[in-house]
Amino acid sequence: MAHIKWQYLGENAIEISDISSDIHFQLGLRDYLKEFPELGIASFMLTDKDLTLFSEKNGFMSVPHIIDRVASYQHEMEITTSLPLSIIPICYDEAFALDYRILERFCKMDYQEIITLHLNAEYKVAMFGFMPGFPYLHGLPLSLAVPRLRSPRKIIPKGSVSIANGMCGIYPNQSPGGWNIIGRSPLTLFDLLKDNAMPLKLGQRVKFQQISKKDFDGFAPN
Amino acid sequence: MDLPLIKIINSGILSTIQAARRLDFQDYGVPRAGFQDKISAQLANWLVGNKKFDSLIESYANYFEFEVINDCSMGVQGACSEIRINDRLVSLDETHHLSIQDRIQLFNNTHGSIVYIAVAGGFRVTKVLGSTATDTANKLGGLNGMPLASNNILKGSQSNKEMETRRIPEGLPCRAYFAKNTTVHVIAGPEASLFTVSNIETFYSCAFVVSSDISRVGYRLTGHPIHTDTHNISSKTTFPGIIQIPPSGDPIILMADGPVTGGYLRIGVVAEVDQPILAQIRPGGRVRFLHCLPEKARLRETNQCRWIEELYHKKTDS
Repeated sequence: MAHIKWQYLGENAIEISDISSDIHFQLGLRDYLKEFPELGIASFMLTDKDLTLFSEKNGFMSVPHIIDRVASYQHEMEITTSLPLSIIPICYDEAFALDYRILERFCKMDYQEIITLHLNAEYKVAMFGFMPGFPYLHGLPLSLAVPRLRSPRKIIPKGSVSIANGMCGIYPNQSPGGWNIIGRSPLTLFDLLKDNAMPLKLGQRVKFQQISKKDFDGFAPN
Repeated sequence: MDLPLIKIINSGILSTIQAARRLDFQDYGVPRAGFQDKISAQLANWLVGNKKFDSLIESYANYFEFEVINDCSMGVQGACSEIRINDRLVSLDETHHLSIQDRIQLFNNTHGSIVYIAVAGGFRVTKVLGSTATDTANKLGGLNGMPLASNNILKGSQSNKEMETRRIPEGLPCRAYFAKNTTVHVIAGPEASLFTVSNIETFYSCAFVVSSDISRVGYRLTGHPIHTDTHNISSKTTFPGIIQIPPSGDPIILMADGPVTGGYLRIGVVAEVDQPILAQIRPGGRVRFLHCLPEKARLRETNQCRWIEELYHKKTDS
């Protein structure tokens, strides 16, 4: 049996860590565990390389059984699911790309090269966090792995596409934040007035598509 | 049928509509929200014959005032030392039957931070992502996602029958919640091993001071900064009760509206059973941490749930 790293996270949750940074592996494991209601797992949270399992009130904590199941999933590892590709329009106009100079300096490239690299990559929604609907995208080219800003901004505009910690993210609403802003998308990623409040899903493939400032200004609300 | 029940005159520091936690969207980045002190909230709902998680007002207030627009029954629990109805002092721990144009004033000049105000039938607000609870960090739920303000009118349901008068029975442990200082049980966090022995000793032996930087998102503690070499980790799961150590060294305890992920070291998690006590500590009060195993924390939680369950099963107490 493979060695599974896990720890309690309070009395009602356990965190299985360093399982895989592949979101499809994590989603597969989550769906597999859902097939065993006797384990008493009420809900799940996925982060970068971890899967947190929340117990039903006073139900769970047949921890050895859970760990056995996790281990057995690893043996049967098979990735089949792949959600459709989602195209996210982005405008790289300098008025939106608040940190393009930092990016240029850090990556030792001019902004046009950075844009090309950012556009050519295919991303995957690896987790949501920080604020409702904020996607953490895996797949950023290594040469664009700029660290967080030294001091966070008080206000980052809604739709800002950002880079930090080797990942790409999109601010679904105005917020404070410390990521480097590379451009802005006119898409609304979190809208409670719609049936589908959050159009992006965990595991979904994402590509960016460049639009002009004029297209951005004339963009019809999605 | 919905009808306006009360009009807020003075809403205190931070007042919101709260109800059951919003549990099903954590993996989309949506915090839980909900009651900070579920014991007081459930007792307030019990006083007016509601279900445990019906929508009520949660208020950080030394003073809260409202006017009655339509007859209703009210239950108040939590940090409240004086209730006045039209300037007349009334009992704290029983149901009050209010009439149109009554003026209600709640004062708190003793202990505790949070008061709960329930009306029979609960307040009527729209559910957002499965709950009416207000998430102050993301402006979700409650009354248009916003804290309550003066002149807000809150709606409820038409009550056809006269509500019985209930009293909180003597001898329940609930009053013990409003101490100035407290000790809470803590389960070691996943990053506890990244701290030095002396860090951990400081954490479990010192009395930390609750700063004035408290909100529904988190409480910051001061007095004994814990300095470490490691500060940031990749984003990990967080939820109410998680104690993080940021670069300043002053612990932050995440509360009901805390974010679902965070990149600071998680030194420990406040046992769920002690979260109501913690929420009620006022700035300036002291908190000690007592190490505890998950099994023991669950047992204590079960015992706490039991007396609330028993109270709810009792049909009437008048």
